[in-house]
Amino acid sequence: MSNHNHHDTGKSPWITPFNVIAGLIVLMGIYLTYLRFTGGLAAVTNLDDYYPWGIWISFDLLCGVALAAGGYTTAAACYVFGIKKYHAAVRPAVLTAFLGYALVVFALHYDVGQPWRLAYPIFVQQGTTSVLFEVGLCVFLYLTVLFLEWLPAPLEWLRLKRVRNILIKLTLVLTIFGVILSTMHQSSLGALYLILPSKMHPLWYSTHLPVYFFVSSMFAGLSMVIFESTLSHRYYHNKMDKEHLEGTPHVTFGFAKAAAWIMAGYFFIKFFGVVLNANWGYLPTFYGFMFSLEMLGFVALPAFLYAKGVRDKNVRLIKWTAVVAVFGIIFNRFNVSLVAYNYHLPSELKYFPALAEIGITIFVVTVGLILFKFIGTRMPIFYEHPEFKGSH
Amino acid sequence: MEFYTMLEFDIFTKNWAYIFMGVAVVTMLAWWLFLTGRDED
Amino acid sequence: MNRRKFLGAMGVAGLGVAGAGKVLAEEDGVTGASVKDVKGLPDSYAVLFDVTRCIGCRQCEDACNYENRLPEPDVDFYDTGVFEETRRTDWKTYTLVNQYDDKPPGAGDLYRKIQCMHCLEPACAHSCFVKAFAKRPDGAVTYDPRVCVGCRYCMMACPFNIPAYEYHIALDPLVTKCTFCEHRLKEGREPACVEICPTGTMYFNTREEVLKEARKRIVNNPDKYQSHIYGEHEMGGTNWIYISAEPFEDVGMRMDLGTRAAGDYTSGALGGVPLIASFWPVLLVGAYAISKRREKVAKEERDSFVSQVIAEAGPEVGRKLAERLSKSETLDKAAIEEEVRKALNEAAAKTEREDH
Ligand code: SF4
Ligand code: SF4
Ligand code: SF4
Repeated sequence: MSNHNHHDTGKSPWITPFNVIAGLIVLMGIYLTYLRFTGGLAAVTNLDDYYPWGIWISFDLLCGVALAAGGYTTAAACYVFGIKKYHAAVRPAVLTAFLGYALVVFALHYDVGQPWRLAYPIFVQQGTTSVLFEVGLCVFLYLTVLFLEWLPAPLEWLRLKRVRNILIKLTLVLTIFGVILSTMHQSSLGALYLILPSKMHPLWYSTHLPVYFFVSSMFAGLSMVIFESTLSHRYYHNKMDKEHLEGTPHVTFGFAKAAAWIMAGYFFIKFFGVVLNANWGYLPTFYGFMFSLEMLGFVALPAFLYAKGVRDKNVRLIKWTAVVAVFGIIFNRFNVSLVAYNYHLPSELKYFPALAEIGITIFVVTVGLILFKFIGTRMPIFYEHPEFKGSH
Repeated sequence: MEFYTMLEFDIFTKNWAYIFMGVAVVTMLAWWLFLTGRDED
Repeated sequence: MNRRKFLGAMGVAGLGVAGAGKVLAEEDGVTGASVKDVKGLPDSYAVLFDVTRCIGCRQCEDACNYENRLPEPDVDFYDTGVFEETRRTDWKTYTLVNQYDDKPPGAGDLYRKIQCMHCLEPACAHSCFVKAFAKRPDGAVTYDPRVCVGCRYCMMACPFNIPAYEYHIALDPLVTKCTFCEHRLKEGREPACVEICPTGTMYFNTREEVLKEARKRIVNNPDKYQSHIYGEHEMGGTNWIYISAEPFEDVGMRMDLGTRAAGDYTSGALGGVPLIASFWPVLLVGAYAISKRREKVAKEERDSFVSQVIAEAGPEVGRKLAERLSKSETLDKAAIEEEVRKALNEAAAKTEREDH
């Protein structure tokens, strides 16, 4: 997905590097899907009885949801906290979040054993004592909220004024409901691991795991918005209207500042996790190394670089820092779900993803890019629809 | 109320908690509308 | 960045409060009135497994396999070669016996049987989001295959690594685990493995009687047994109970699980959820109202400046100023004054130019 030049002006030829690579990945994905649903999970994954959750949970679910947090952070900044400068950033962020959550749900169809029962916890029998129930319910509701938040874009595209105007009126309520649901399930993803203290390395296990996950989702979302806007500017520059282009620097600097500030707080609450559990002794071990790398290399460092970028008005630095921060979130979620989990097992029993497993994850991400591209080139995402200008 | 296990207790309390959570959110919304219903703007 | 900071602070505050909900579910100490009413299952069955008596004949494995109509094993039940490895439960093995000393396979004298512990407060049941597991009054923890989605969170949650999954099945894989031979319990019969054991390693009775028996054996042979009854309190207690001559770690049993039930570890976080649902609207709408109010004040200020300018320099200049102010959307008084000054200067320059 490195070099997909985009041609929007004039006729767009079908044979572009993006289309070719994406096409090949989709073909691979279809083949792997076939394998998965004929041979079972064993045919495509390295999952076993010690490792019921692999990278489809670590990446597709945990990282997917965290990185889609840009939806609630941006919408809240603009509509709840009234920072109108961020208005142009809301639509792309909501689109990214909607696609992100849709893909999380899509990916879960591969992971669970009987995907056609995926709605059972909501409609058939509610296991309300389960943290996973809470996650499932919130993701279901939030996906609906994101869909409604995103819907005005296709409705404007299709010129369905009346429905669109009703939805616009609901913006504030939807935003607030979205923040509530996000708070709940972002934190609950961390809370999933609370029930298995004996299987988790003490450096990552804490009663405050839900707080860690929620707080880190905030700067994950902010960083993702910065990162995603870098890509959009490269490929959609000609689509963007004045408001969007003028708003972008505000978003970049504002979000970088916010992220740096939240990361500092996050650094300390994680640090107090070590203090309160007297985990110092674990630091000079392999796990301590991973933990320190996470805290220093992927929290403290990007926080500092964001701050420097803001002070020096250095957009380039901020954009690269966003990449580091996003990678840091992925590193953290993997640390919790695969490094800390089952830390006491002998190494020969540990899990490493199968190629086909990684293949399906790549396929899912690619589907997301294709959808984003389809929507971004057609619907009013990076500009305001001339017929609906200023009406929100 | 009598429960034989914590599990039963948890199921009972959490079931109601989820139901009332829905009620609480809707009530809060209605309450806000009532509270600001006569605001000038 | 005050708003961000605000949101962050709210997050921490809110979830910090969430931790307080935990008090309600404390096992002993009994803090909540309703918790007092949790009295435990009165006549649940239990099995005492005496590690000192097991000879590793694996007849219990065979009986379990037969009783539950499980598939043929990979290795024959009378093959001692399996002792070379430390095994665990899997989709066709509800129970198995491992050897825990370094004697040649099958020639050792330290064996332990593994199966579902039938926890008093099962982690598998607490974690299942469709309530597929149930704790029965007879003590069995049972599984309902009709609702299982296959998320495998139960497998994550089980502290004893018991539930297994049919990963090789394409369309309707299920979780598998020991059933405590619930169909036999209903008829008042003991589980198949207990019945077949040639050495009487397992003693079946009500949990109360089983604990009494365990204590009796330890008291009568204090030099032989570890003075610990495994499962009396582990993870809130279990219906399968172990006593052993060797330290429990040496027969693959973790001594660091603690006595709190698994559900106890999540009740704090889950208790926080309703707090978020009911208090987040307060904070968020509050923040919204504050930002709205600031906007309103700023607008009034702007309007008053504009009318002042109109009075001083005419409607044309005023209109221009209003346009500029609304565009910059500034809330900062100094910036507004700056704009006003500019507008007035411009107007002055213009009139001057016209005068010439
Ligand atoms: S041992 Fe595991 S599977 Fe068995 S009841 Fe306890 S938590 Fe459930
Ligand atoms: S795999 Fe089945 S039994 Fe286990 S938690 Fe998920 S739905 Fe429940
Ligand atoms: S049947 Fe009895 S002696 Fe034989 S392996 Fe099983 S528990 Fe041990």
